[in-house]
Amino acid sequence: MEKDIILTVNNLVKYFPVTSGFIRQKKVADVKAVDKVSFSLQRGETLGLVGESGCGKTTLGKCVLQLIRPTAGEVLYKGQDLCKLNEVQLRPFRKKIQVVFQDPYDSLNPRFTAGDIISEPLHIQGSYDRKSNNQRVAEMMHTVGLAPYMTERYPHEFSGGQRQRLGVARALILQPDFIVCDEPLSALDVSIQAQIVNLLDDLQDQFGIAYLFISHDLSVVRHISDRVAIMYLGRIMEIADCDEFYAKPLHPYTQALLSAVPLPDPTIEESRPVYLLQGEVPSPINPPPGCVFHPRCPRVFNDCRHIVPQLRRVGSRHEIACLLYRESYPEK
Amino acid sequence: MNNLLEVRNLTTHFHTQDGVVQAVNDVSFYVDVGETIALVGESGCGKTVSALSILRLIQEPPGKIKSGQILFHGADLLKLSNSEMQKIRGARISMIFQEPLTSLNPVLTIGLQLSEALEFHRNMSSQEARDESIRLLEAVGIPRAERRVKEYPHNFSGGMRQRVMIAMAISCHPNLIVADEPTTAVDVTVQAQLLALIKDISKRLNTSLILITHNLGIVARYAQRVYVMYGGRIVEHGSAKDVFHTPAHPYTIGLLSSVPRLDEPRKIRLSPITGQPPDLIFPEEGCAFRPRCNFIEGQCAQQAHSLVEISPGHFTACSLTQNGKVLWKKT
Repeated sequence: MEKDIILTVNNLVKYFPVTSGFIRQKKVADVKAVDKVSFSLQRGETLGLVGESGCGKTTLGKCVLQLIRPTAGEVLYKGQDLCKLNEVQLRPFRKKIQVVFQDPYDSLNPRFTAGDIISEPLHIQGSYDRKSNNQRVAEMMHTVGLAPYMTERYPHEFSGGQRQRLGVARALILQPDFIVCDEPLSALDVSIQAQIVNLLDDLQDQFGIAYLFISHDLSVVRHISDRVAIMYLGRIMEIADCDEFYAKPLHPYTQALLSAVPLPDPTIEESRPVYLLQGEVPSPINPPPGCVFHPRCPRVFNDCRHIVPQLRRVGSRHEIACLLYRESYPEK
Repeated sequence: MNNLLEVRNLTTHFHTQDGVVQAVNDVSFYVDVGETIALVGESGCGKTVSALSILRLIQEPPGKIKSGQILFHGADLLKLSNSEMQKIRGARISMIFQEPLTSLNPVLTIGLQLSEALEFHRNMSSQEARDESIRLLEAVGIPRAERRVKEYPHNFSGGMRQRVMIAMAISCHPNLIVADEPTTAVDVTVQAQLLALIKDISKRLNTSLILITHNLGIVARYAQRVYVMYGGRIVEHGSAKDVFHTPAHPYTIGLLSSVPRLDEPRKIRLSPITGQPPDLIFPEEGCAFRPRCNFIEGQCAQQAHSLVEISPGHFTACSLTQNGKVLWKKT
């Protein structure tokens, strides 16, 4: 029905075992980092993935990349399930699915020059022709807005924003059609963040890349995304087109998150009601029964404590996992 | 004048191998009783150093408070001896640090760390101090306080640790709390809880608050007056409404337009501030923001760094707006 879907994630699950004992380790529990998550992504589309720390958004990103092998579920790239492939079979797919990491200080090898860093993916993919590689590196540097003379520099000689540009260039050199951006802005200053956001925007227009944009910053996500998904304790709570998500948030968690963001306007802030969520995110080892959000939910009722809400369609492209809207969506 | 704290022409430098870092240059600001002010700016603009200078927590060497006055209740803190300063630090002026994990001692229980100040400043016995610590933890919303005083910082979550920091800051009923990026390490929902707590407590105790942050939303929600810092200097100062509705310095305008905002329609593109933050070892002649400014004119190169009042209570260091030019129109 929908054309050009490049990535589909079906019921993805990742549990990390919790062990006890020193010599004979015994599994005592699971950290349910990602619990039955499904979504799909079209060519050139950006899906913003929002949530508080520990909600599993980074784990989800790594599972999609197969940097962590999921416990169950499917990650379909153009119909091929990546979870079923071994490392060698995966390699051609790694070209097409790239990643930009959170911290540009930790994710660049300090003993590699900028040129080495950007060209390393080419080596891994078996392209050793120095002349053509150098040309590709020069092209990439130009694309992300770095000057050609910087090729011989080491990461410590770059500023934070420039390092993140290096990270983007490295992700871009294999001409991927999908990039996971894991909090690419959180280590940068406000005025520099906007530069990287614009860069990512331009690259999408130019190359038609799809992004999975993981962030905790709701205003940046609104700016960059076509669709937004919100995660809480390993589950997607609400997913909708960006404009609808911000104009008509339905899930009580989404509403609380949006009202917690202070707006840069003192006049609006004076009169704006703020709904404070009580408490903190519970432990994913022992998540609450029923709806995982119910202990903090301002609109909790009895059923929430024992029925797990499933993600259901409430609008044409709006899905929500909340029992409050049980009546409004058609049962299958 | 009922200024609780007045900082006059504060200059703090750091002597490093590469040269003298002029971290804070000729900075003046004041806080009234019961008022909340905000120091805003990007990393390296001198806001933390200004705060540490107030408490005389700048390490010497390499740091040095070169000149200026810090008048607290009219007395200059820079002239006090170390032991006199110790009686003020934590008791009359306290601080909430940015990262609670690095500012709490990992090998002491929370109870002991809270008691330390109570025993020192309020002459309590260790038993009294313990009971008071439990009351303080309850006051900042930590459940099961009588058990948690025996726990260590690593047993607490990030938000809970910051609550402990807040408990510590209010333990001796200070007149002034300096909160240095109190919520950068936590999530938005916890951030909203913590800031509401700080605001609520400071209102109840009639404590003044200096809020140091780079988050413009937090400033708009909590501060009455705002000081915008750039390159170790204050470039704009006024009531929150003046600064947000009629910003009069290109840097403030740049900050306001570079962040995507939830209260405005989506933009096609963001307008970032181009270029890099200023070099504090070899600062620019004239206006420090000149290399990144969109409105630059000839006079900017010779401009002296002085704040001029352009409307009552609204000061700017930009020579263009000082001469009546309007740089910002609310869209």
